[in-house]
Amino acid sequence: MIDKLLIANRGEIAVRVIRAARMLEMETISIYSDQDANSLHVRLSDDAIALGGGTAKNNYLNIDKIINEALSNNVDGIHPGYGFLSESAEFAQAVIDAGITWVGPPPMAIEKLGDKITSREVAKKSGVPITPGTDEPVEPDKLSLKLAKDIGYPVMVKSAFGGGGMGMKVVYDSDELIDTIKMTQRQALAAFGKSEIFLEKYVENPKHIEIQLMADKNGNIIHLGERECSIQRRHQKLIEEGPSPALTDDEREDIGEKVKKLAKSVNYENAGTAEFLYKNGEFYFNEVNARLQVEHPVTEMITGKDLVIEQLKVASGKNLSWKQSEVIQKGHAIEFRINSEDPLHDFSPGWGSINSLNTPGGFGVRFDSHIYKGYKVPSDYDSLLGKLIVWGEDREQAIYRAYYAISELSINGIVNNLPFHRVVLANKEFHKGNTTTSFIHDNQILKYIKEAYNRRLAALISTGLKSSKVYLPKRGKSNWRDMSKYENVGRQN
Amino acid sequence: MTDEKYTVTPIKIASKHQINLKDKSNEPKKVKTKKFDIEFNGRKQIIEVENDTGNVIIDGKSFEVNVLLDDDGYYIASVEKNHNYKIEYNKGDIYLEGRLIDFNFTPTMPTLNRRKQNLKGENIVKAPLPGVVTEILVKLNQEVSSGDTLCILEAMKMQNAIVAENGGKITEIFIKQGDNVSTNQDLIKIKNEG
Repeated sequence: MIDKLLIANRGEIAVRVIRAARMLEMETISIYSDQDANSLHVRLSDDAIALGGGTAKNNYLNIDKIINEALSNNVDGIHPGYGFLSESAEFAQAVIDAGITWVGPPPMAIEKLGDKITSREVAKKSGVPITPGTDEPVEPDKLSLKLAKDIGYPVMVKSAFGGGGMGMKVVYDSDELIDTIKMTQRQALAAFGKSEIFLEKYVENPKHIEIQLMADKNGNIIHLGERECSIQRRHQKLIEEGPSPALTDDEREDIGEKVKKLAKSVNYENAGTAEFLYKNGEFYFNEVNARLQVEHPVTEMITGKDLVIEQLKVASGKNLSWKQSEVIQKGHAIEFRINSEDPLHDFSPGWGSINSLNTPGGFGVRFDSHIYKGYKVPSDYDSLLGKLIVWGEDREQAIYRAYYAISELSINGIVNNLPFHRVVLANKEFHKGNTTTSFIHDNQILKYIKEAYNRRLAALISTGLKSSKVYLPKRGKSNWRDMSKYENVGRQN
Repeated sequence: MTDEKYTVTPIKIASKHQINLKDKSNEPKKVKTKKFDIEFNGRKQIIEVENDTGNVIIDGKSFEVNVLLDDDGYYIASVEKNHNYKIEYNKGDIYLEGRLIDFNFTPTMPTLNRRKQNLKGENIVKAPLPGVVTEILVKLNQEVSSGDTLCILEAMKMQNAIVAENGGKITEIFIKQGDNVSTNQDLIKIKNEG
């Protein structure tokens, strides 16, 4: 087993990994940037190494620095968390070359799955359902019309080099196809210097469903069921749950077995997740995340299995602790990403200090986070403050428990998206499980948040005026005293 | 009033509220109001309270609020008759629905004074947060009006538009595309000769 584990990450996931490593009596070492000197992972680990300031390139993404520090501190295992270097085949190889245990899949598997084209091929060969589309570039001609008809409209016309909405256009009717291909070719040539265009089925308003995998070094592999992560804004997941209200047991078994085959074909090891779009009983392969995911606690809560402890065990060469038949889903779990972003202002991020914090508790309530009272949220990293995960005997109980837990959670001093979660939890379409990637838009969620927020504002100011309790700002930066000349409002000292 | 006995609105009642929300805006009549600067959980805005009725005007909508003091010393604010919020003042802290919140309000300074402060002369637009300048949308000597986007600052993986608070002519650009900037660093100078 690993004796001394270095966690090459920050924030809540670094804390999560430290907690698991402690359970196995491993010594833990953190790394941190100047901005993170007061971060919780630095304090919780047995030792911490400063990697300097600047952008992540200088510290959390600096392979040479991390390997050198690991070697001079006699580290014999590295866990990359998610994000940063977690899906870097180069980093994985550097760790292995340094004689250190890599807690993740082999570099070759990361490489094959990280490439959109090879991962699609691998998936196809393993019988995993892929999104119908052309394997060769198309031209604005009769053949493309036939191909589009076979795929079925709506069809996405996309450049091989585009991404994030760039160089992509959805066509709903054969009349528009030829012109759209011509136009996309021109745009792709101008933007990327290459005009190759492909056709792919466009899945409208799908669900996002993903399958959790775990494999050891000795060829054993299991799946741990699915998570549904349909509630997203700008392709960022906000709420994840398991099991999906849409899947049947047979569908779960079928897709799980196929994903295991896929993983076996690339000699996969450790934790991983295959992501799909899902609509009307059909799965459409998207990608494999060759790492631990943010939403892994959902699976932990419904299977009762600690995935991070298992990652550390299998990386150390142990056999998987469980057989496929021992993985049984029980009850329902939902995870809420608590972000320092403002749903009332287009989810724009905020930063600052946490000046008070009260977290909920009780049966089935879990809060994975790195924040504490007085913690200053740096603006250099993503806005995740923590994750609230609830478990219930069934989906309805989980929703009720989550609603009241979120009502107790109080984070002050920094904007956060708690009002968003409260509104979704009270939404009837969410209760019915009618969740798709366009849920926020289709259900006017932002309008309800604004309305609920404004009502609370009206309640607070009316109560403040009525009770004559106008509070002086806590510290003197405001010129309240001067302003009070203009208006005379009752005030209690 | 169906839910005043609860500290947190029960989930079933909260669900019904979402269905009952109608689009018709309750247009406020032209009435005399007092303005207040509000700070609530990190958000700042100005809202108005009608002098005669005490109704609160937010985003052009008038909210009728009735405040009751219950026997235990809690306030129950009933908004639009069927939304009840329990509010507690305790040694300078405010609890809304049993949850500690940050809330402050002060009467707004008359707008005349505000305008005077920064209409004339030179204005330097500063970075509100550290980030990377991904795009500059203005050129030297270009005339801009208030609200125009000057540049895009990427921070925390988000694109933030930096807009002109006052109009005028761009007299200096301190940054170039790709620059890393820190909080309060000078970005763009705008001169107003009017």
